[in-house]
Amino acid sequence: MKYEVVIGCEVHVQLQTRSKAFCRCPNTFGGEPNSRVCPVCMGLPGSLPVTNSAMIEAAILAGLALDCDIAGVTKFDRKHYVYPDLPKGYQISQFDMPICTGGHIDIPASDGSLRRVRIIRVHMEEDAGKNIHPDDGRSVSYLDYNRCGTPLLEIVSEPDLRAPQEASAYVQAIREILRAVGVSDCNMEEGSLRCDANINLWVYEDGKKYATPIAEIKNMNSFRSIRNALEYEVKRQVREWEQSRLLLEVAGKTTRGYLEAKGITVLQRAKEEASDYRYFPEPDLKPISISREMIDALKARVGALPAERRRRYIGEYGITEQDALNLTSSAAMADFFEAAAAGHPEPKRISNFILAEVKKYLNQRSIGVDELAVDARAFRRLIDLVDAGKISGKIAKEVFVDMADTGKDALAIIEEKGLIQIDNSDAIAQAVDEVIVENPDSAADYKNGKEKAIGFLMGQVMKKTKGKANPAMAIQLLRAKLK
Amino acid sequence: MSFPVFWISMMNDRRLNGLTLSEMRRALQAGEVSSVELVEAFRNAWEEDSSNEKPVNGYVEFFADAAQQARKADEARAAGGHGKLLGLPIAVKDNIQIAGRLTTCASNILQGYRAPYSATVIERLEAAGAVFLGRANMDEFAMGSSCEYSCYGAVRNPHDRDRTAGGSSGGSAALVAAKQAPFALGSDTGGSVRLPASFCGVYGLKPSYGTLSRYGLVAFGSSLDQIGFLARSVEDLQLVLSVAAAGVDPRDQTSEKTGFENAGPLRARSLSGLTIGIPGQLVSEAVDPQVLQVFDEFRRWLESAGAKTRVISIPVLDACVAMYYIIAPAEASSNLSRFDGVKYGRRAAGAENLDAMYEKTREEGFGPEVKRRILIGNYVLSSGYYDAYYKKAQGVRALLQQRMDAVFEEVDLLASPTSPTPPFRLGEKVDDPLAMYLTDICTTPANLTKSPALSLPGGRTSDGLPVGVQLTGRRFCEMTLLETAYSWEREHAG
Amino acid sequence: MIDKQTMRNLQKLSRLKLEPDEEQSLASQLENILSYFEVLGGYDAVDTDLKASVTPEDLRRDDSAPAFNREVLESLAVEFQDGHFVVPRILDIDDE
Ligand SMILES: [Zn+2]
Repeated sequence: MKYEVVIGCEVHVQLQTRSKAFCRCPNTFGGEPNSRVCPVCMGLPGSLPVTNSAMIEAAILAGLALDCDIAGVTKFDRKHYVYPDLPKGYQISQFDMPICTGGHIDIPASDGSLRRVRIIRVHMEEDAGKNIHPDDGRSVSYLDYNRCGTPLLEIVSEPDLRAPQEASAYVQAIREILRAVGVSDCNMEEGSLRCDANINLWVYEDGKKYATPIAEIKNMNSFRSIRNALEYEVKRQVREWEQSRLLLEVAGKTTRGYLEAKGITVLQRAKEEASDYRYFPEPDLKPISISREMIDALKARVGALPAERRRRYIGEYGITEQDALNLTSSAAMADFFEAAAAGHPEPKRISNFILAEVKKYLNQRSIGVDELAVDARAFRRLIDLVDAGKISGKIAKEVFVDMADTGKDALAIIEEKGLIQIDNSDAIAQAVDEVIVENPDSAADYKNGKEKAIGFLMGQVMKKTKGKANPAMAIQLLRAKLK
Repeated sequence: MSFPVFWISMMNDRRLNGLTLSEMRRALQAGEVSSVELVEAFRNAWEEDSSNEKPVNGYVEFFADAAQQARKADEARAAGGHGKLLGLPIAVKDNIQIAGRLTTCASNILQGYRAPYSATVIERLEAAGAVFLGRANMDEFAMGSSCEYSCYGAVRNPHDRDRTAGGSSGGSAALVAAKQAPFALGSDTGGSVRLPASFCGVYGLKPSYGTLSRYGLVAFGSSLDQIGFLARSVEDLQLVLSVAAAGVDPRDQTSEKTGFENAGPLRARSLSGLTIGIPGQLVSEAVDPQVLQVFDEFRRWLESAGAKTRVISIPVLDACVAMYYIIAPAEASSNLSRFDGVKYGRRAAGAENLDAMYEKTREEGFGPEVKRRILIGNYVLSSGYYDAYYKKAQGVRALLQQRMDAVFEEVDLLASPTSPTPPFRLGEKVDDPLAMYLTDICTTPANLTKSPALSLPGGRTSDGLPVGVQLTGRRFCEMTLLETAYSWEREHAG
Repeated sequence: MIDKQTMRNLQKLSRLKLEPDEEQSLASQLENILSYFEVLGGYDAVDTDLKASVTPEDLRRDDSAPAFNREVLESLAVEFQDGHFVVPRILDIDDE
């Protein structure tokens, strides 16, 4: 069975402002229940919302960082639904004039290429409160309105993702970008970043394409659970297709919740009951016009974003697209690279070392570059030793592992272990002479024009010197003596 | 207490009750009267009326501490205090919140609800030293044109107790007319200050949308609502406006800077140079002949005072009631969705689950007119009908705005009757919602265009029923309205 | 045009449950009112004016103020326990 996985994401991000979206209650996490509420966010009779300018600014910054167009005029609308955690019976949201439209971000695709994920829109809205179901045997729920009115961005993507790990990579990329511009801490555990995904399959059979019913997956509270939930869902939809051949046109959209402990998704709402949100423009708030000047000023603040960094790495440093993508997989990694490469004539060599040796070390130990015992300056001193001919690149790899394990400086390690490169020509000449004597066949081969033989002889010289011979010097002497 | 003292105090009461707010202010300043005496006079009037077989029923609560507030004001004055409204008693419609006091919007759903904060307008009046007499009766959530849809029972018109006082600020208007309060705050979403002013024979001002902060006024139609005043004189309207409109309220993004706080004392002005338009649509044969007669007299007065008048045609005025009864219920259905029994107000007992709790709470808590408007509102906003009703109404509202902007290029003010009929009988329209809605034909345009409008007591029918005349201006030209009305008052009052 | 299904849907949206006779009389009143609204058909709608707008600079500065104290909330609440408002159990696993 040939099929393609199709995923689109709706990501909600809480904005880090001092006060809430439409009132002056502190916008912080948690606190005593119902300790951060006022007439406005409680929706008391007669209260009116007043828009926080910092929310607009943060939304524009996020939009610019996601390569979106920023609206010249934007407005708020009321979205009506009934739920006890929604105190007014409507949410102040944006309907037909969102603040940002039409962006995109690039992520590594599952096949190693670059995947461009289009962003349909980014809009502002207010968060709802929280329900708690106490275990006291009473048939009641508790309500805490602290979270009510927290400014949110909803970021809606096109269904451009083609694998569960791409969805996870997409959400991670959003987190990176929004953290980089400082609008949110995007903490999934605390719920400051939440993701719902719409997923279905395109099945290819007898030259035709069939779309399976879309499932909206909720309750994915970590990057791992995004991947696991969607992987489970792919398997489930494959099975469902094989059993029932149910089509999207017939079954429509369902809502499923992910149960992390069991690793499965369960049906929450069957065929989507058309919710009638009765949107209309929020009469308590005026439309907002955003000037070109303001957008330009904020653009300057959207400094080193992943996409912008990648452009620089490729254009200025001659780094491949794939490597640039890997270096910008996290802001910490890109920061590490840039600090290590600062002023270096060949940043590409540093990139190669990082993507090979440093990444290997991090992966083996499942840690991030910010947890590495070697900081960018210590790492650069290691590279400088290679450049100065003190150690070979090969030795540098060992030294790096030592540095990372012990936290010691490169120079201390190579001195301690006697790894300083032999660039005394006499000592190397002696080793070269011995190797020629010990390997007469290879020496003869080279003299007879077998260029390859020099590699073998070189290896022997390095072996004899325990890898410490300056390779350039060694090869020069070898060639001279075999002339 | 001996008989003669009581008798003297009754005499004083009668004299004091008839004073305007501005006259009281001068009497207080001159030390001729105390705030406590004023409050007692109004309390006595209210108590006396309560024992009437057909009471006005204008107060839903007379504040037990009103005299205490007055005593404080008197003490403040003795200590050199000179707030602009120091010691002046004012009644407050039951949908404008005063911190710590009940605010119920004459609805069962808000029984027991004690406002945790004060409306901005209340704060400003309080800071100026006003004394709050009590809460005025109203149509539930300000929805109604007759003050019959109140959980406290209907308000009776003091001029004919079998007739309505008009709505929805019927309690406020009736209290001023019955001399149970010298001045009252109301609210006006489609005529709710002006219509009762007209029916009760007092002055009613609906300021421009944005002149007064809406913060703390329980919302009905958010794009139309405005706190308004019911008064015995034009001077009083200006006095309280200058206190209440003191600048933009940071808690209401739709409030605007007007400068009305700096307006000096009212001057009677010559009307020469003023052109006053009379919309033909509002003086048609559909209007009661006795109302037309009063209006004609007013028109003649305008001419005699130097104004030019001319009948103009603004066809879109015929669509205002329809527009209004789409937009206001749409906004109301949204604003009232917060009343669900979860957080405050009244919660129905005995609901077995959450959905039942919502439904029972709202079914028991809301009266018939509120339910009707919630249903209309949800209908015109619901998918499939939004474009045909809500969106269309907003589009025609924008057209109306264009037309009115053009009209105000040619004329300074519009004049019309305030209501197409004199006060109607209690019960006459209560079961015919559409007939009730059509009462608002002359008043809704000002709300839809955010304009200021004023109703003045233009005259009486042969039966002695009050008939109001309405002046409407372009947005924020309250002063022109007040000065024109003041000129009229100086020649006709008394 | 106001059939039983429409009335049911309206009640659902409105969170109202009407008595059968109330439902019937409201349906006919609504029909009457809605047909009156047809008068709007005689006028051309124009675009709603978005010029009445503010700039972000006009909006509220991002500073916070103290919130309500607990006693006020408790006095408003119908049912309050351990700092929370209490309602009949929410029977929906879709909490967040
Ligand atoms: Zn708040």
